[in-house]
Formats: sequence, C-alpha cells, structure tokens
Amino acid sequence: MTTNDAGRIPSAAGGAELAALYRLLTWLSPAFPIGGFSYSSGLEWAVEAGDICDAAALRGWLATMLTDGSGFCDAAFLVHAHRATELDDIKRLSEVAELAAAFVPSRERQLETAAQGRAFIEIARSAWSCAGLDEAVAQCDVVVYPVAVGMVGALHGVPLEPLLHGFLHALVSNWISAGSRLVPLGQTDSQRVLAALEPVVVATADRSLHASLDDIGSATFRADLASLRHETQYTRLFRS
Amino acid sequence: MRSPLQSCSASEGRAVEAALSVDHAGGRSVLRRQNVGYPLHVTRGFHLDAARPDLLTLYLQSASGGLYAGDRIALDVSVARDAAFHLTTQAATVVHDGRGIGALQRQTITVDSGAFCAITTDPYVLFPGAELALDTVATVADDAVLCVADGFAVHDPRASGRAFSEFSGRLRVLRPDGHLLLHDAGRVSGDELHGALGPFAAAANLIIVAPPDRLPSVKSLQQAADGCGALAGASRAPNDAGLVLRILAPDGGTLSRATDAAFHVAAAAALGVTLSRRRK
Repeated sequence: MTTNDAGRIPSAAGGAELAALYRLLTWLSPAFPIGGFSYSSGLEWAVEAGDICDAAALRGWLATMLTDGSGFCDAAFLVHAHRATELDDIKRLSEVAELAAAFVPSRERQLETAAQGRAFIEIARSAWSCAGLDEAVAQCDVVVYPVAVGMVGALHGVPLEPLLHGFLHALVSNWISAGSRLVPLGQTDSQRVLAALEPVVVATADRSLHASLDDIGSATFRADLASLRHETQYTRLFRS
Repeated sequence: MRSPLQSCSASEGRAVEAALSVDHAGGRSVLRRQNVGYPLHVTRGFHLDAARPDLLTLYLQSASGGLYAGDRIALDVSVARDAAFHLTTQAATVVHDGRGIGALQRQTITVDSGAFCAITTDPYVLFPGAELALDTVATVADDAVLCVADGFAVHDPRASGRAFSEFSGRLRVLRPDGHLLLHDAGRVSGDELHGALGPFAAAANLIIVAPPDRLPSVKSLQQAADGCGALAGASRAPNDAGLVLRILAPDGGTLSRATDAAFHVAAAAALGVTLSRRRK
C-alpha cells in the first residue's frame, strides 16, 4: 500500500487497521534507521559492574527500568504527545516535548533519545510524509524519541494503544538486543527474557495511559548511575 | 505574645527567615549582614585556607536537635562580586516525625559576578515518619561558581520498622536575567526507598554551576566519591551550566565523606587551590 497525499491512513473499511499495522511494524522495526542498535541505556556499564551477568539479572533490571524508570516515563510522554497532536493542541505538545527532553538522567541518555527522535522525524519527513508534521515539529525545541513516535503516529491516524504497545515492545527488544551482545546471551535466552517481560510491558502501558504529566517520574537510582558511569567507561561498544 | 514553648509546639512548627550577606572587602570575604534566629545558629567566620585567605567559611547549626513537624525554615544567602564563601554544617541534621505536616527548608542563593559560593550540607537523617521538602532557587552570574550539596540518610533508632514519610528536593538555577539553566527535582517516599536504592541507604547530589574552564573532570569527581566507599556518577548539566554528581552510599557517614571529597575536587578546579579540610 502507499500513503495518500495527506499521509493519513485511508478510512476504507478494513484498510485502516491494516495500514496502521503496516506503519507500526515499519517505524518500530529494528531496521528503521534511527540507530537504536548503538545505544544501551547504561546496560553496558551494568554488565561490566557485574549487576547483569545472566538472563535472570537482565530480566530483573529491565523490569525495573520499565516499571520505575525510563520505560514508564517514555511511554507516558508518548501518550501525551499523541493526545496533544490528535487534538491539534500545539501549546500542549510543546510543553510535553520540553518536559520529555528534561526528563533524562544523563548526557548520554539525552543524546540517545534526542538523536533517535531527530532521526525518526527526518525519516518521517522523507518517506512517511504527512500533513501537519512540519508545523508540529516547529513548535518544539527538541523532539525526543517517544514524543516523535507519538506525534507522527497521531498525525498518521495510528490509534494510541497499539502504538504504545509497539513502542514499548521495540524499546524492550532493543535493550535485550544490547544485553544479549554484552552479557552475552543466546537467541533463545533473549526470547525467554522478552516473553517474561510481556506482562510488565502490558502493565506499564496500562499505567502510562492513565498517568498525568505530574505522575511521571522515575526511581531507578542505580540504572541512572549506570548511564552516568558509562560516560567514563574505558571500553565501550555503545554510545550510552 | 506567645511563650517560647508555644512558638515551638510540634503542631505548629517554627517559621524562621534567616539571611546571610557576604561582601569582598579589604582583600577578604566578610559577613556584611547576618540575620539568623532560633533554631538556626551560625558560628563566627573562619578563614581556613592559607592558599585562599579571602575565603570565608561559616558553620550553620541547628540549636534545637533538628527539624520538627511544621518547621518552615527560609535561608537567604547573597554573595557579592568577587567574594568567596563556604557555608557548611557541623554535623548531620536529624529530621523528626513529620506528623502529617512535614518540614520545609527553602534557600534563596544569589552569586554575583566573579564570586564563589559553596553550600554543602551534611546529610539529613530521616527518622521514622520524617517528611522533609528542600526547595532552593539560585541566581548565578555567568562567571560565578556555585556548589550545592545535600542528601539524606535513613535511620530508625528504635528499630520500629517504620519508614520515613517522604523526602523531596528541588533546585532551580537561573541566570540574573531570569533564564533557567537547570531544574533538578526528586521525591521519594520511605516505603519506596528500599526498592529504589537497593543495598544503599543514603543518597546525595552535588551540583556545580561554573564556567567550563573552572570545572573538574567527571572522572575525578567520581573517583573522589568512590574512594570513600560510595558509588557516584557525574554528567554535564544542560545549557552548559556545569556538572551534576549523584552519590549513593551504604550509610550517612560514608555519604558525608564522599560528598566532602567530591566538593574538594570541585573547589580545587574552581579556585585553583586545594582547600583545607573542614573540621567537624
């Protein structure tokens, strides 16, 4: 299928859901060129420090990041960005984008989310053009990754819930991909971790759907320190 | 007129507004104005550093055994052009049961052009039920230096099993024209702390606002804190404001030593000399 002139999903019966699915699978695929493979969100330091040494430890670390850390925060920012864009509330979108950019614990996490957000917007402009994108982006100083996904998803008419679940799945998959290279883990163990985290992803998505901007916050001191310590780690494969 | 007992009642707490103004005069930094009332007390000024004889150091003390429910403490610190000032505490401050109304400590800091200001507070020791909110607003000139350190440790002296209620901290740093450089905010409840800190029981932040050529390296800050038995991580602050150091420690004593060691690294980079140890 191809996008129509305005970029929004055609509303013909049956076509809308399939078009949304097509775009979701594309945007949140590891092959979508935003460079996700080069970031570990501090996992690289956690592995070197011995905090993560096997599949069980990786699962526990990621469950905490999802529930109490950047996973929940990013999910909630995606939700608010999607809703503000859908309502064409540019002022609100700008506020969400500004808060999301401030909600990172370290310079490398800032690089990670800002660079991916920028890349996501650029590719959306180039290959998945849609009406309103330039205007929305122009209102934001920085568009970090979850805000970019929420904004573009809304402009394309992709429903919020599948977008949110797809985003969290992509986030966790990318973390596991980093972990599998660092620990290292086999393919089967990696899939076991992904399967085990499914209920955590579902719960995080549900909580973020109902979270106000004031509810957003993280309490992952050690994971935050991991992303800080990564800046001075001697040997590094990843940019964060 | 209320009696002292009434004014100190736990149900009302105490409202105190204190102010310290430091000027540079005659080659030294001097306390130009001091307005400090009970329960706060400041020592006389010390000039402890032979390598920086102009630097004024003051110890801020609590004369009442810590912070109590309903306390509202406001401290205004102003450091004038080219002055150098270090305000610290003599020991940790106990925060008692907040009884549902908690305690609030507000700080307003102004650091003029060319000045150095450090406010390093020993950890707040959170007793069961303690509720403390710290709220600091700092206005820092482009070429000035500000170091702010604060944190908390947890203590349950009677092994009651009760956690503290809540600890929150907020720091906003502005330029004189009102431009916001950084906004650091955190809040944690006692019930959530164990899961959040893991094996640690104390946490602190050291925020350094300075021009780039007066900042220490990230690694030197981390190593100073790590060398005391803590786990620390630092990163550059947004808007080229300076550096932010986060510290975790197993107890308040370790946290205090780690914070102090990191502060000395920051001060050496900012002032070009190594400051002497602050005896406590």
